[in-house]
Amino acid sequence: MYRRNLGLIILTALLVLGLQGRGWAHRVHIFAHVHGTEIHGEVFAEGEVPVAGAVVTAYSPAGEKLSETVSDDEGQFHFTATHRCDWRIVAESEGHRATYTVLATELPASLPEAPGSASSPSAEEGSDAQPQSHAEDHAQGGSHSHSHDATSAGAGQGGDSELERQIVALRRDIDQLQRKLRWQDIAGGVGYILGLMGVTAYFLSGRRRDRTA
Amino acid sequence: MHIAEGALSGSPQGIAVLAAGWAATVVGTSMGLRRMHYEQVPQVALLSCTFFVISLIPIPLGITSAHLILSGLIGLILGWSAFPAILVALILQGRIASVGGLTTLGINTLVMAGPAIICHGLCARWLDARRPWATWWAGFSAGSLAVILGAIMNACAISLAGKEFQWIAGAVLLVHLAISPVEGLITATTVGFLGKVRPELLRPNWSAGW
Repeated sequence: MYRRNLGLIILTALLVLGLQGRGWAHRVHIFAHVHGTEIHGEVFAEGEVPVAGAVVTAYSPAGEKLSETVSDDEGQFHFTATHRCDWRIVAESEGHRATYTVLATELPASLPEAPGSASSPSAEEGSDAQPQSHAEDHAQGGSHSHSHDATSAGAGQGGDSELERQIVALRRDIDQLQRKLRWQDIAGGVGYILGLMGVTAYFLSGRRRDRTA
Repeated sequence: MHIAEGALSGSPQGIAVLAAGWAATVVGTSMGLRRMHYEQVPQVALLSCTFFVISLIPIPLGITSAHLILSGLIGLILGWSAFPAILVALILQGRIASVGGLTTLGINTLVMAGPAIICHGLCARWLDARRPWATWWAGFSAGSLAVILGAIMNACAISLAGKEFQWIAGAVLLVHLAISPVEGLITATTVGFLGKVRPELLRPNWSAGW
């Protein structure tokens, strides 16, 4: 009985595993925050596993490469901000790609503006237009921007370090929450596929009726 | 095996690869929809759902991980209809799970559905509920070959996009070579099971003239 149903058992087990909401496909994410003129960040895969050796590149809004580095063993990297503009940070590892944008408003006003830059304090196009949404991985070719005012974090202003740590931790939790893939999302995707196929069956039934008529 | 959104957009060669992927996907999807039978729709739906969920489950492989694709199984059962099934699943993966993206949707669909069609042509003729061992080997061959072909196509697409991508292409190829026997085993077990309970599903006549 077990041998006969082995395939069904394997498939069912995989589906059940999939619906547990943990361990989703290998994707790369970035989280970054500003401390003074330093941009600190980390590159990690699903399950908060740090990704070492990821190539991390920062671009200006005009597409000019500002800096490049490699994440360390703990997946962490940092840049020294040289210009006050939006820093679009791209991390690539094993063919996976993640993007994060540090807004110009998070950087100190003492930094020079980048030539030809167009800082964008509000969320970019292609996003869900939620002002608090943050940088995404490689989904739609665009990145959601951090859009909180500079006073809320105090990060760029050298404010209270304990407060800053708390806020960074809070932002990291929000980022993790927004990235979390829940079983409801999977069930929604499955339902969508079944619904679409139902519509297809409706149209194909018309074709079938025409053939038998 | 998904090519990341924006990974190929930075060079003219990469854009050409993306355009070619989209063109092939449009052609393949059209052919799949034209050949889809009314009675085949539940299988298309079920396999599309399976592909959608399975691709989101990582299998740890040392310092990296991969995920099952089951494109061989989908190709064996659906034939040309594998194109619309995989396309729909990839669209939803992109929207819900942020895996892949709109510009790379065409090339990703081609990389996964193209080998499915090839394996259907090579292996589906050996599927026979009356010959369990032939069915098992057809399933194993299709499952492992589809992954290897897909990894090769993926590596070619990444390499064609620019020299600096070649090391990524090699890494993806090696990872999927390691996982191909697992895919073959799962595909073989599945078709063997189907041969016992739903042998009519193994008749390769859905595609109406492969």
